[in-house]
Amino acid sequence: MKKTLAFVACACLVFMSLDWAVNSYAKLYPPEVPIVNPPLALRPRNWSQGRQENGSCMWASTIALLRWQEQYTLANRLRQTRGGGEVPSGFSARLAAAGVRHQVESDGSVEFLEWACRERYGAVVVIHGGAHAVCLVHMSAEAVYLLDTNSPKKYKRIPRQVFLRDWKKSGGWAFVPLYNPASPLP
Amino acid sequence: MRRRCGVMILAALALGVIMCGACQSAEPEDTRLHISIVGEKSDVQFQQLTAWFENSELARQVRYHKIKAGTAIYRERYAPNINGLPTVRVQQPDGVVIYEAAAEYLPGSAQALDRTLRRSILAGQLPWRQRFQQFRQRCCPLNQQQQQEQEPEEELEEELEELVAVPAPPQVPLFPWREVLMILGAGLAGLVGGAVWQAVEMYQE
Repeated sequence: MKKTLAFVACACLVFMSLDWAVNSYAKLYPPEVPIVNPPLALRPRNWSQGRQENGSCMWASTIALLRWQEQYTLANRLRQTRGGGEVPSGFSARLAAAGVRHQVESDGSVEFLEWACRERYGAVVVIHGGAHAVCLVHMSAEAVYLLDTNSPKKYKRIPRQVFLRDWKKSGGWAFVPLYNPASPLP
Repeated sequence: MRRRCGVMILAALALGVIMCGACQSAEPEDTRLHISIVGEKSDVQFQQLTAWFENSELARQVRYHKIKAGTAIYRERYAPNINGLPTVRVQQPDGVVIYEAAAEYLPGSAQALDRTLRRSILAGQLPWRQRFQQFRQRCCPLNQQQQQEQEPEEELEEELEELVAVPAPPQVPLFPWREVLMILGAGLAGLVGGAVWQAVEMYQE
């Protein structure tokens, strides 16, 4: 009886150790970061529109996420017909008028941002006291990754708390285009 | 008797340490699978596959990606890692492929496609199988060789190199020291426990 129990206990330990070792090894290869990772060719640069001195960061960020979600025709149409500075109030209506399927939150909901990243959609968020809009492309427990259309070649990594403070000070507004984001890399 | 109890408590503690470590490493993650159908827009087989899949119940249970060849997303994210067109690929949320077939190896009817995908999903959802496939995919010398062969091509693309130079993602330890130490600790505890047990039995004899 003792031997049987000892054998079972040993077998359990060996199995758990192996399972754990395999799991630990797999963890050495982290998944793609950022989760929302549009190819460089699909990231538009912020542009100025007409006499306005400010850029079109809201539209440029929207276009980046639409292209990531394979909405090339819609994105190109927006690039040709829209531009200039935008404020969050009323932007949702303008998006709807442009035919963009989306969801907006303006209550500073962190869960909404986490959901947007987890679902691979990404989110357009307003920062710098409402003066600028960027794409939120990844959220982890420590940091967030932003795609800024003023410098679209590289992602910006910012401590999560710093970003959330800035975002909430700017009104906690975010919107998410709802189409078909690309699958993860194998 | 007391000593035996002590040994059992020690063993239970060692097991607890292991299980606690396993629990701590488990992060809550989204569990929906990704099914991608990749092909030429004008290809009849691609059109058939997408129509079959879009009309199935399965399409509403997973994340479906219909990828047309020639787009920037296709060129960068799919072209380097598929074997032909059209391709059907099933991936776990972390990207690990649990089923992939291309061209003539694809199922020839809506029912066959649905059955094949469901079987692959069922097999892939078994936890031990997931981990084994993940392990095999990342440890297999053949895969490593293929990755090495692909590297020179990637080096040619300067823009991609810039992407690689993106600020470092959250760091993952290069070697799982914590896990190794805990396993060794558990082994040591077992060794000490066994020695004590033997000593007790010898003393009683």
